Amino acid sequence: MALLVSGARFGKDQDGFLSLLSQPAAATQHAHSPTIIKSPSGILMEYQFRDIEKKWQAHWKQSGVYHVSNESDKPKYYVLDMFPYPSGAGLHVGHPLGYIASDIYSRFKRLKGFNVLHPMGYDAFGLPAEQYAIDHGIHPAVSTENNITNFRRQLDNIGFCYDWNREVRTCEPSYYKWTQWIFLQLFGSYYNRQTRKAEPITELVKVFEQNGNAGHPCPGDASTVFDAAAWKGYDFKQQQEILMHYRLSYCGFGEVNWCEALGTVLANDEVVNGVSERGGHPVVKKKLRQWYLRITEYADRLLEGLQTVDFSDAMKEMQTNWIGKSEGAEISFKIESGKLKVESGLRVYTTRPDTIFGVDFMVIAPEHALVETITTAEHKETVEQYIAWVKSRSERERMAEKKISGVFTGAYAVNPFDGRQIPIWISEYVLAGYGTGAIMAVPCGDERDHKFAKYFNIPVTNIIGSFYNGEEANPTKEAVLENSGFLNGMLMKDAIGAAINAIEEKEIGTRKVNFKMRDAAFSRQRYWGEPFPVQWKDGVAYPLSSDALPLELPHVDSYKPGPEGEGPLANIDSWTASHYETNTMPGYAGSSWYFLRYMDPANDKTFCDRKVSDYWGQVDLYIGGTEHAVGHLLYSRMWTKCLYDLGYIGFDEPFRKLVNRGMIQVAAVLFTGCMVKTYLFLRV
Amino acid sequence: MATELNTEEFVKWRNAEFAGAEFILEDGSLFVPKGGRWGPFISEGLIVEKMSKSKVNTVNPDDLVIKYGADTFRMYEMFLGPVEMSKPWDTKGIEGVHRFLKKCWRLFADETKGWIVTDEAPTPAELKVLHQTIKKTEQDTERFSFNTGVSGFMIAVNELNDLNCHKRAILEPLCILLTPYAPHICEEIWHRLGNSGSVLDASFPVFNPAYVAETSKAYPVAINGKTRTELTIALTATQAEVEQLVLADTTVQKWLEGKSPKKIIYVKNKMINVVI
Repeated sequence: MALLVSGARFGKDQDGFLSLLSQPAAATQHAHSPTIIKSPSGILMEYQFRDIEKKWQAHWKQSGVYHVSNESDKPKYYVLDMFPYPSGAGLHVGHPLGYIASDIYSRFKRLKGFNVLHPMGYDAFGLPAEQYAIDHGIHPAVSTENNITNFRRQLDNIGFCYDWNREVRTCEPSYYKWTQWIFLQLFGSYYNRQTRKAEPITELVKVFEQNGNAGHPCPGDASTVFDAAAWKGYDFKQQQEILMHYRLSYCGFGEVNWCEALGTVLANDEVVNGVSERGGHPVVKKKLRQWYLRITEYADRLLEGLQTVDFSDAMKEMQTNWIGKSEGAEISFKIESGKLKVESGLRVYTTRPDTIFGVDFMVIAPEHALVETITTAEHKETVEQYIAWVKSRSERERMAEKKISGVFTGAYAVNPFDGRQIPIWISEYVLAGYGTGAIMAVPCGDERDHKFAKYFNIPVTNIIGSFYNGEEANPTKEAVLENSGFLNGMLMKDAIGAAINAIEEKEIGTRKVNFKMRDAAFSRQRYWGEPFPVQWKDGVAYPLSSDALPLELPHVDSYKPGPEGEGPLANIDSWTASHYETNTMPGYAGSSWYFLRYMDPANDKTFCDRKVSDYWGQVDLYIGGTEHAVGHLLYSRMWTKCLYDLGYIGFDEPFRKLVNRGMIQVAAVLFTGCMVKTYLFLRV
Repeated sequence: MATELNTEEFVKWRNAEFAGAEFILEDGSLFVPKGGRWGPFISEGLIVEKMSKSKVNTVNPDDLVIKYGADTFRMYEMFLGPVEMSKPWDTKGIEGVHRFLKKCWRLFADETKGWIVTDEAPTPAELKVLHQTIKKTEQDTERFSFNTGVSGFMIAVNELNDLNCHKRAILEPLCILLTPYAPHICEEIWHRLGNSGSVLDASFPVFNPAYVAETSKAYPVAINGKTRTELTIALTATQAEVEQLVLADTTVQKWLEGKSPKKIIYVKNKMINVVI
């Protein structure tokens, strides 16, 4: 949702706002010299808050009163704030809302006899520091350090009871050494669907040598099937490619927004209407090597875990919707295109197999692998034009688009039950990354399909009788089916199971659980992030050994992107000569496990001693904004589950209770000439 | 990029918190006119802008800490409303919170007389205020209702001020209760009360329900079934004591006109009826 007002207007008024801010500062001058009243004994007895606060802040620092021990007879309590990104703007009134709340609660718990862990640190890698470096030529390490100094000064002014001995900064090599180490654990593990947990990939190799992959279908590529003999027959590189499809952190190819003119990869937000936000240059989709987290393997456990934590219903709903579990069927339709017959067929996933007799057309994503094969000669030109146009559009634009667009391929699918020919269309509203990249369209039951049918004059088959009024689709499950062959007369919700049974009987498809959630992209073509502890040789990724960590981020003088969309590290000869990965990790890497490091921040043997994490356990209270609902709060849950599976920690949910702080909406009266206006600034 | 606000989406946003908002779009920027949902916060009309990390238009807490102190700033941020709710930032009320802390300080120290805390024994009324505050602070803090916690302290300080209470037996536990919210002033008071070490190493005061139990009740007094007056009587009073008090009351005497009542009905915790 867009909330920004016109930049020009805002810029004009901003000076006025800033000058307003200086008013309290001016008033402070007077407040600084109060009338000094002395008691008869000569002691100042007015409430001298400035002296009092300065004195006790200094005393707290010097006496170490907030130092927390990992050994105590008292019960433990762990209160955590979402640590800040140290931006140049410093702290504003919105930050402390959560920090003050957690500080009050920490002190309260300590008075109630608990040993309270209440730490603070900095989420210090990220794009703003890199952009600042590009604009001002100041190294991100320098500007980050300056910003942290400023944040710390501001935090100290408010008198928080943080144990600063436990401070972490995600950009410090002594910290990201362990981020890299955890990455290597993910790289060295797969998700065993039989035991429902992460296990070492070396164990999987042993299974392959005995039985092939029959018991462990390949999560990255379902078509990869082999027996023990075949496995042994593969060369090293082939074996590594197969294992890459199982690893919990893995390298694959993904589409990015590539801007040739800027020579860089852009985030979705930086692309507007197919051109770069900066400069308005054309942006195209480009396949680049990317790292991912195989979070989809944890989809079920991430859902189940929500039952064991104290999060708000709204937060649980956001995560549940994001994971988007649905049950349905994957069905294969035969294709007829002119004389060509594609027996392998067009695979679609549907949650409503009961509507199979209402399928009036199919829609495939413009990126679908079959596009070239099935498009007939007479439709070739229009299809190519359409695909070129779609390439210029971001995924978000495609999803938000209300205008209907699409082209007919000239090919038909065949309904497996009544043999009816179903035209196959291409449209941008079907995304390649979701499901199979193809859908069966049932216009009488789905509004999007209905609009598409009306727009292109595709006849609509009514299978729900009076439930369909001819004007708009009705997604009901309560109708009695008509025009539906063997399903006629059945209530739709009962027909779902019957249809799946028939599909399985005919061997044209299978019952299937589908998730909306995709594997999480885990790399960026940027400088200011954790380097991957990986070397590439002959197309195979070799992990560094643990004792080679940390792989330190090298110093650069220029933050310009490397060739062909690679990150700035590709410009460093010594880096590329060692064949190191040139991507860096994304902003959420360091924040996915920082709550564990606070427990044992100085340990140089391991990320957190098991005895120590057994003592502190879960975060008892986590306070922060809702904006991290489907990012940080999901990734950190996944990392925790992996570390638990591998036996490094004793709990599999990181946060027992989550409290979401609200926003502070900043209003200030702004004087412009004789007009008085009030401006409201919303802070997320 | 200038981006137009989708006003339809905006009013639906955040459980329709902005449902009452009216919009005037001017030069692509959004105006919310006077009145409506935001009426109390605006004097003319307002433009809505989502603040981001990269914008410099943040309001800096430093200025407020310098002017009013950290303890005032902490309590004020909590006083704005429930921590989970979004709320407008308006520094108008910060003066009130600052005055509260000054008033709290004056329970302990007088500007001319100096430190005025005494070792006198507390009265039941003072103990009642303290133990009500213990209970409220504990409940409110435990359920993250910090805003009502702050107002609980304000009530307590006002009541103790009215009772002219400067007694250590009341004020020392109060200092511990207030510590999580206003740690600096409490550390100073703790120290001035002669304690060593941090107030954080004290124990949270224990609530005693006996001190807050009601000891008396205001009864409506009826003459022949019609309420004529009210009398506050101890809950432990016997029938004889009640009769004595009722007969001594001037309003009752007026209605009796010198006669003796046939009967005085006393239902504990309910009513008193004088039958003539």
